[in-house]
Amino acid sequence: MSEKKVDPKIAARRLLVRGGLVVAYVFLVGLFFVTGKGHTVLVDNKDAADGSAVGINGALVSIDGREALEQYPGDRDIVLLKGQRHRVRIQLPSGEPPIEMSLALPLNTDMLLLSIPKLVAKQAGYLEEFVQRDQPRPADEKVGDNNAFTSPDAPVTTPAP
Amino acid sequence: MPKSTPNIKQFVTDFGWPRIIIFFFLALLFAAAPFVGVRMDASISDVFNRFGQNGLFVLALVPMIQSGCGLNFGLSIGIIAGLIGSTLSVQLGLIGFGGFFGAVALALPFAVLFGWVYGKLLNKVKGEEMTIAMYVGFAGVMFMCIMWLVLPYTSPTMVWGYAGKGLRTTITVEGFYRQVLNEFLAIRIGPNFVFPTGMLLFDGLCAYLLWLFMRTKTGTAMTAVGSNPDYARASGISVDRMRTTSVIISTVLGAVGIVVFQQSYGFIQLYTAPLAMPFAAVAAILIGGASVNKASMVNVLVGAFLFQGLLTMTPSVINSALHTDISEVVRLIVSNGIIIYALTRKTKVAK
Amino acid sequence: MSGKKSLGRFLTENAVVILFLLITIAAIPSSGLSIQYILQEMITRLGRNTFLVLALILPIYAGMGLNFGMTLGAMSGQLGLILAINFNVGGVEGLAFAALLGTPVSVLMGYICGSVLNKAKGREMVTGYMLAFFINGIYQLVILYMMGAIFPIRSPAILLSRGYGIRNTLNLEGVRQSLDNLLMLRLGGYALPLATFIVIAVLCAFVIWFKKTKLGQDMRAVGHDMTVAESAGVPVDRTRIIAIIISTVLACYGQIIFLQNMGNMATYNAHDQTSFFAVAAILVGGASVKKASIPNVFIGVILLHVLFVVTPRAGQNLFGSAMIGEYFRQFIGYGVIALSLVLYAWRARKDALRAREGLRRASIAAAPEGAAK
Repeated sequence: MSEKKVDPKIAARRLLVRGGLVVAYVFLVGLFFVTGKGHTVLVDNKDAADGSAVGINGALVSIDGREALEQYPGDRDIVLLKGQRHRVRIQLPSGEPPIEMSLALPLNTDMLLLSIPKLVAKQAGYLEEFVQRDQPRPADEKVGDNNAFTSPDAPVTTPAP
Repeated sequence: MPKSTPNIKQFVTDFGWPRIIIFFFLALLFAAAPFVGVRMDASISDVFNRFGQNGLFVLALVPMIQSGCGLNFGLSIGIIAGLIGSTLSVQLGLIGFGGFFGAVALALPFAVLFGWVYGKLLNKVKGEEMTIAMYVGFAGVMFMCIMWLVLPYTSPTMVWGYAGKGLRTTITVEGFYRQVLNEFLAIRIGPNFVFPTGMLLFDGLCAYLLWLFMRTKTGTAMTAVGSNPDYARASGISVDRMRTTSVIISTVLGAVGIVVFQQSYGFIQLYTAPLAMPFAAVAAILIGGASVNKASMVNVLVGAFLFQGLLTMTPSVINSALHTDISEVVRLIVSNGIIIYALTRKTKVAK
Repeated sequence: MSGKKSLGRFLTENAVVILFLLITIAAIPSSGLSIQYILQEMITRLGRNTFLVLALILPIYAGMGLNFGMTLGAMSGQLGLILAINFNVGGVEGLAFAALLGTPVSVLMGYICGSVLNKAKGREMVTGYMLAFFINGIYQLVILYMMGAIFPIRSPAILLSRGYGIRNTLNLEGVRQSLDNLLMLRLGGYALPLATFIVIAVLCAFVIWFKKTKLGQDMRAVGHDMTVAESAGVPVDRTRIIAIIISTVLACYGQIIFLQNMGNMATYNAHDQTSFFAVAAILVGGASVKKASIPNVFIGVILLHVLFVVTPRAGQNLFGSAMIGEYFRQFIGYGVIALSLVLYAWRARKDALRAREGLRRASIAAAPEGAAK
């Protein structure tokens, strides 16, 4: 095929189309990565370490209009989010108009800690990356022990002795 | 320079790069073994043992390749016949050589019957034998899985204790015919080396009988059917009958093979165990230099030795050198790679 | 006479479907399952499996038989899913991400598979089957030994505790049933995953459209007779490779759809049975090595899976052992493949004989005229 002389115009167009496809591919991978990226947000209502902000008694925290989490001092709830831009709405027990603000999660994080007291007190650092030190891990299953010829939803293949 | 070595070049193209690579790989494994603390005598003893265990399966492929039926991916049909024979032998309580030869004798009628039906079937599907053989083998194994649960065996060594019916997945032949061939005239050197004389003699006898058979009138007719069916038909040979005969012989050898395997291994493995056995045999004979339509005793000998050597040495050497269990993956790649290599080679008529 | 003959012909041509229908109908009552349960199960399984089975159509069209090499595509899809889990990309976006990452891998796999099959013309099926085993070895080498060791893995949770190699079972929580739940239609007690069915419908439309294109026509020509196609200027080998590439890419997407529905992934054996189920399904639906249509796919998936749902229960109720049912359905699966291959090969030989006889008769009839000249 490559031996044949191709009209340079067609060759150029072919190159353009192929280049366009590559660009589109990279764009789509990037797009889905950014929009589908999951973040675990720990909604935290503990006192700040330096005591500058204290836990709120009975705050209602709602993210992206989901059902509100009712939080008391010392509470920590897990919220799974997809994408980076989210809206937080906090209803304080004092009956003031709710605090609403947008939340921008850094792309390259898996787990974040959102401190409600700090946010309400308008302190910096209300959102920080949370690094798990030692995750509990279930024991490894035996690898390579494959009963290759059973169906995926089969009952246990070997009857117990 | 390359021009001056036509013989080596010819040899390489005939034998094929993959086989040469496997050969050197195995040689390397043997060379490396002492440095990673693998005992040579135990390894070599192991290779002989496995060679004897599996040799008959590899041998069983020869008749069908020669008669043009291709690689017998349905060898499990023969293995099933062997399993019926061995379970019957244990059920009857036959012991020692009686148990072994009893198992073989009881397996034979089943093997001949199954082989006959299987051969008739393959005659109907010329050109598609290998795929169909594979699935007939699979279906046969699954059918027997049901049978092992249902058949009225009663021997307490074989049935599940709690239910009192249905055969166990693995049945020990300890006290029946475990190692009867291996121990016969066995040569022991040191604590780790055993040469299983009896088993290898038995394998050799089977190979010799097959070799003799291939030289009889029927045997040569069979080869003629495989290499040139039109010519064979013109000279008055019944192609279908020859093919059926080759399938029966292959099935019988598979049946005897599994009994030999059991006496050395020590267990009868039922249910899904026979599913993968044909693939190992096929890989072995192809590593030995056979092609889809040509196989000889040398191919069997070299192939079974190389393949079993590989199976023995890769785990022990690679695992102790790298401290991983990667050998299973190496085995998968090597054995299936060689099968693909053989299947994709242009089938030229060998000299 | 002709009526009787055509009935006989109908019976032999559809022997597999009819036989299967009879076994299934016989097994339903003894399972004790309600029709409602079976219907819901069928809807779920149609969504889960149809895409994979559709991947088989084009290679059959191109005369390459049943593409057992589709497993290569399934492995590519699993690779994509592992990466999606690794980067914690979830939801439908996660599926799309996995599919996009799986695409180039499956194109490469399809190219390799097609090239290998071109060297094994006449025994594509066995070769494809063995190739799936071979690539399985490479897949294990990459996933079990290289991931975490050579290729960095971000999420330690998916690694084995030894620090490299992906765990045996992966929890696909982030993408679990995300396509199914995208547009879940609830109709009188039944849940219908509309989005999945739309994807399947789009693929059906693609297959129908593709057959009408120039390339599709070329495939048909290659499938009909390679030498004739070659002399007519169709690039035979290239066309065959393209058929396999498309099939492999579709299998990659199909496996992703299958696994998002299952919700868990057995990293090292989720693909073992992919081709077995897909091939059994399309054959049960009445396809053969040379002929397959979209209705074959749907009929096959429904029939095979009714039996698969029903047999373990029937085995339990009839013999007091679910294992018997499990073995039985595998026996049926393998048996159906063997039976339809046998029937096809047998029929093809008979047709060839008949054609030869017809030719002989025609030449005898034509002979006097030739002699008269």
